[in-house]
Amino acid sequence: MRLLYLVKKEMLEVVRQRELLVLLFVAPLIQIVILGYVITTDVRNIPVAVVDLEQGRVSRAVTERLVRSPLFRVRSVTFREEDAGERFRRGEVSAIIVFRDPAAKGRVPLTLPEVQVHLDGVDANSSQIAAGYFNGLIRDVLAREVKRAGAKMPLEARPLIRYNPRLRSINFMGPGIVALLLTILSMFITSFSFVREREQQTMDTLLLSRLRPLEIYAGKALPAVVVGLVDMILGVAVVIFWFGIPVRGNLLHLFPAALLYLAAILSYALIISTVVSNQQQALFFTWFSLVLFLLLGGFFTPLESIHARAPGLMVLTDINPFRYLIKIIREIFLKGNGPAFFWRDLAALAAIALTLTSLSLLNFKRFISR
Amino acid sequence: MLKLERVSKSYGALRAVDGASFDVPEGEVTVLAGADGAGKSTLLRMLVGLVRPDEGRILLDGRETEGGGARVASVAGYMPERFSLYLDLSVEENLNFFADVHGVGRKRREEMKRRLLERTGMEPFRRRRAGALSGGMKQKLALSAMLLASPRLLLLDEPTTGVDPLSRIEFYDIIRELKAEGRTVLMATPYLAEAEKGDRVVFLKQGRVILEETIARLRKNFPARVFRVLPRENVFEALRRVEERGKEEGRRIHLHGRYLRVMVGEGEDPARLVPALSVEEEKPTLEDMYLFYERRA
Repeated sequence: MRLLYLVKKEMLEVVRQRELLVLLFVAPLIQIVILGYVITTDVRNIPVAVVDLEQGRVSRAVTERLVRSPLFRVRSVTFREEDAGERFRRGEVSAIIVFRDPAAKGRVPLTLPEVQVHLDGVDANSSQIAAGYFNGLIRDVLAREVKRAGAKMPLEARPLIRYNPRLRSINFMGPGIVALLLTILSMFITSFSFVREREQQTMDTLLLSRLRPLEIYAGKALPAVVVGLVDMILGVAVVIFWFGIPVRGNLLHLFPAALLYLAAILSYALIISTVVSNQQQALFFTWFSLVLFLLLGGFFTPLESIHARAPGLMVLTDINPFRYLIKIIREIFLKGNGPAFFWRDLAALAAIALTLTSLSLLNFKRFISR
Repeated sequence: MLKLERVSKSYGALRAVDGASFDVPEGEVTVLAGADGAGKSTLLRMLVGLVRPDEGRILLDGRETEGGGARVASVAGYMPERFSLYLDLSVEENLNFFADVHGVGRKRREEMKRRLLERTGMEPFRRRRAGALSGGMKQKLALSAMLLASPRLLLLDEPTTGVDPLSRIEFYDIIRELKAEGRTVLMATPYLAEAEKGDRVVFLKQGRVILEETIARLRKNFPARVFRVLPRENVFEALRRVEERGKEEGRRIHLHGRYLRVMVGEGEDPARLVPALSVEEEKPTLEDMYLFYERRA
């Protein structure tokens, strides 16, 4: 009961700071909408220059497909290689596709490829994806040509993409953004909690009250849990209604994961709040941790690629609670799976939450001891 | 009511409080006086249990308090040196929160709030944000918050530092009323002029108690006479000349505006120490007495 007095006080303090209130509830909505559009690995409108030295049927067929595809924007079709080279250097196009003239074989240094693709490797990710599209497109045209000639392809690959058949990256990112929202604000509020009391000289006031240390501790964490959950629900609403991301699973399954996750990161934020000496430091530490959580949590890049490139970092991803939360949210949203499928992730979250809460409580005991 | 026996506290190599023993008798105003860093705040914090003493005993009503002063805190109100309420909350919200976390029931809270706001003249500022109050009003709010739980013992750490003179006078009026109600007050202050408002003083120097006495007895037994001397030469020059003559002489003289205050024994002539344009005898103030004992300690 006394605990509620503290919660009430915390809420009053938050409400009193109008700027903070905006930050708490409006900023995340703006963020999620912008993030939804910006964080995307979809490649669209790749500017292409076509150099058609062959001027044959196949080259025309491929060019036509390129023009029709939403993935490419054909900026120019020329018959001289030099024209395209210049545009490529200037960055006006990020790909050149050259159809060699078979009749010219032996005269140009590159004799082998009849079709050659130049890609701008500065944006490695987009180029890789673009290369994949090109290959698919050309394979397709090739297969058709073979069929026309009356021959049969020895084998045909037909990938069937499940859960996100149109491969919209927002479907992958959206649920991740929900996890992000749950994290950002609750963590910031909590990391400020004790250091703010200390800066205001009110920590003693609390310690000398009838509040027991555990009540003080919980009183600091609870408001952040509430804010975190409200933000999460807002995020879910935007992801569903604005971006039209399907929810295949039961959204109620989000809550146990969210609560375990909050227990973990809020304990962590409370540790930050007791070791830093002012609110600026708390801000810095929280920001730094947040970036690590995201990078090592599979938010942008799949964990498998982290594993392949830096196996040493895998330990960090294993203890990163964000990783499990984001996985669970994606399972619920995209695959419609329930706890039967992600109980391992829930268990990992629970273990991390338990460890961090214990550490945080021990640390709090040290913080208030005289 | 409260008794300290050889209480010590060190922070690393620094002995903040060094074997301090003194009494805080029931119903009196005891003033803890000393320069910055003399250990006043540490002592008060030990009394309420925010700092654990390394050695010594603290007795409340003759019974030892275990592990520092947690038991003292249950009967005492403590007002720290810096304003320690919530700047973003209003006067009333601060009072409500304070009452709530100190277990003051709603009915009693409203009654106390009404009385305290009236007594401190804060009633018109009920809804004002604490951060927007003046220094004096902040202190009155802090005092009111402390009084909500009706503590028997008030521990005040430099309650008038940074407070305007008018608010100070009001503040001491309130303290006088509280004393009349039978409450015990222990107040730390670096301003000796304010110590005069008390019944007893405890002089601290570098964590040690150098004197513990009632103010009446202190005045009666003060062994020196005090003169206000206008030196013939520049006042700084005159002071330097006296100090150069040796420690003993230097200890008896200090700067006071354009004048020097000179303490001499019975029958001694202050003009013998400093060539003077004018010499006037004055009533020794507590500040004179503090300097007198502090320099001998």
